[in-house]
Amino acid sequence: MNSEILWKAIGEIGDDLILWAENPPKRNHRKNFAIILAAAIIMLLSVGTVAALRFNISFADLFGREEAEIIEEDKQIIEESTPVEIVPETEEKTGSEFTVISALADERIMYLLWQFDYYDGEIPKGAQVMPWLSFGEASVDTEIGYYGGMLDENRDEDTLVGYMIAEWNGEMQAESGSISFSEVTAPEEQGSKIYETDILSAIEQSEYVEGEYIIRFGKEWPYGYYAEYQWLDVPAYEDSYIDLAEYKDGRLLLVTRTPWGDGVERRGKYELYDPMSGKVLEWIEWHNFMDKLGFVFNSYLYEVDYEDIENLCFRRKGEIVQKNWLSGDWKIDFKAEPRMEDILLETADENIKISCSKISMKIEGNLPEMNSFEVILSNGTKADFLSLELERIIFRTPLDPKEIVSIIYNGTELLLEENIE
Amino acid sequence: MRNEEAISETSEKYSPYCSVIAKNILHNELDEEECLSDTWLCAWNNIPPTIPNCLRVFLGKITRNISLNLFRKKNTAKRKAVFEPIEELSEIVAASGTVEEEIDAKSLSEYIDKFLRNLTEEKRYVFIRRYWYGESFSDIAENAKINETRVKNILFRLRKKLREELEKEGFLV
Repeated sequence: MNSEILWKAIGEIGDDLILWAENPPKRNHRKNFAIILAAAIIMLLSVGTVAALRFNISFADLFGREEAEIIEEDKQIIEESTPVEIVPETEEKTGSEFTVISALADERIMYLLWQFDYYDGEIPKGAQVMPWLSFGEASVDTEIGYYGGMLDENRDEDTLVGYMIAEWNGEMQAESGSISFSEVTAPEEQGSKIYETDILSAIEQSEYVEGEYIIRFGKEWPYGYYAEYQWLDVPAYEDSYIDLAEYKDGRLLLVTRTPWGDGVERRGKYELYDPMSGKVLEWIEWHNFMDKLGFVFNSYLYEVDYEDIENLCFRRKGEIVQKNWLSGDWKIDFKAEPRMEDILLETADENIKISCSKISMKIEGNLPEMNSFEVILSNGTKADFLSLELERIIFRTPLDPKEIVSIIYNGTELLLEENIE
Repeated sequence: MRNEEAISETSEKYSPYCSVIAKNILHNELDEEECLSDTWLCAWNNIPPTIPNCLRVFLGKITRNISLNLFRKKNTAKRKAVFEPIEELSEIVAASGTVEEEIDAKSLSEYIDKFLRNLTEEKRYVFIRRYWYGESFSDIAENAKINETRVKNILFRLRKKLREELEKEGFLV
């Protein structure tokens, strides 16, 4: 074989794949160009960063809701700055890039999407970044400050995408902001333990009589089931034993006995594991029961090839903790502008002023302390909120302010009744 | 007896599709025309007995093969003339040193098919466009709405990954 044979072999892949590749795939959450997220952002670069706008993530993607498509009409383009460092196109990139992808903001809040590309390998599943957001001296304490999260769904192995939601004010809007972080963490299992388990020996020793094991787990004892067979003492895990083992028709039945008074909570802590392949064998059926003496039994049914049984052993699951996976100093400066405009809603009381954009609302006026609040849309649905401070009522999903038909504050309608159908 | 007009009808219907493939490989208008004529003739001679599952892909495959043969024929004298996608694929086989000669072509295709189906859509698209359609980096980038550097990075990694998997599966020794 040479490269031409490989080329020819590629030529014979499935017709469906060839037809499929006639059109570019639809973008997923971080590549969906269908709805370009709003707000112009001017990227200012700091040392060691390369800003490049490559993906526009939609607001709908951010919140996973179709109704966010109303943002489409506000389509705004994000300006891109020149990268500090230009990587020659003929070379593979190395290292990493931290990029602010886009921003969406009104006068009260700002949504930011960022991306981290890692070029030296794959980013582990479950990796996380917790960036800091700062507007320097203009930063002020706000009710919710800022928070963020990861958009992990369908991500590539070499890319992380996350979002931040921040309250902001005029001073912050006038300044450049910066996002920075110093580590990428990844989930790591700690404290797992493997137990020597001789399941084949247990099968040989088991007193099981074909077709009878279910009958032997009688139901006569008022406190539950009881096991009516000779106990085995094949070590399973900790101080538990394999009590019964049977293999038939590709299925392995294991019954483990935990010490007296130990309860039943052990399920889920231990798993059957193949150290050779590193894979966990999931049970397809599980029962637990207590015998008349108070011993607790767990029965597990697995589907497994007989020749693989000798490799199997019990493994105690460890605790999953986020540990440092990559350290560094990543920082990017940006300047975002509040481009989403407010509209004023007509109120029943002229002393109350309600300003509303597609992402947040502000209510001004002499109102009593809030004990209930509802925003109802023309389609009958109620808006959901991330924050309910009167100065900044943040919608969980974007909405069209023109579609708001009712705002009920402590049981009282705030909007002009004439406008309510 | 087959309808002689079938060739012209086929040509009319599938020319746009096949000419893109020919163009990607040959980069020469006259050669593309020659390639397409040969494609229709070859298809005419092969249907039946070969009944294609999908005529469009069937013709695309013929175009792809004829284009490469023509490219080789036209460039025999030019030592430096290489078809870049194949040159890139040589990284996969060259890196392994010895190559399995008695390879089962069908199994290899099936394995690559499976390999592609396990990729993300973006990567699969980039790979097929480059190594099936022979498309340029810039065209792939434009269509996939990603930058050219990313296309090259994706291909670089996919070649590496494919090489590792082919080695693991014994296609490369």
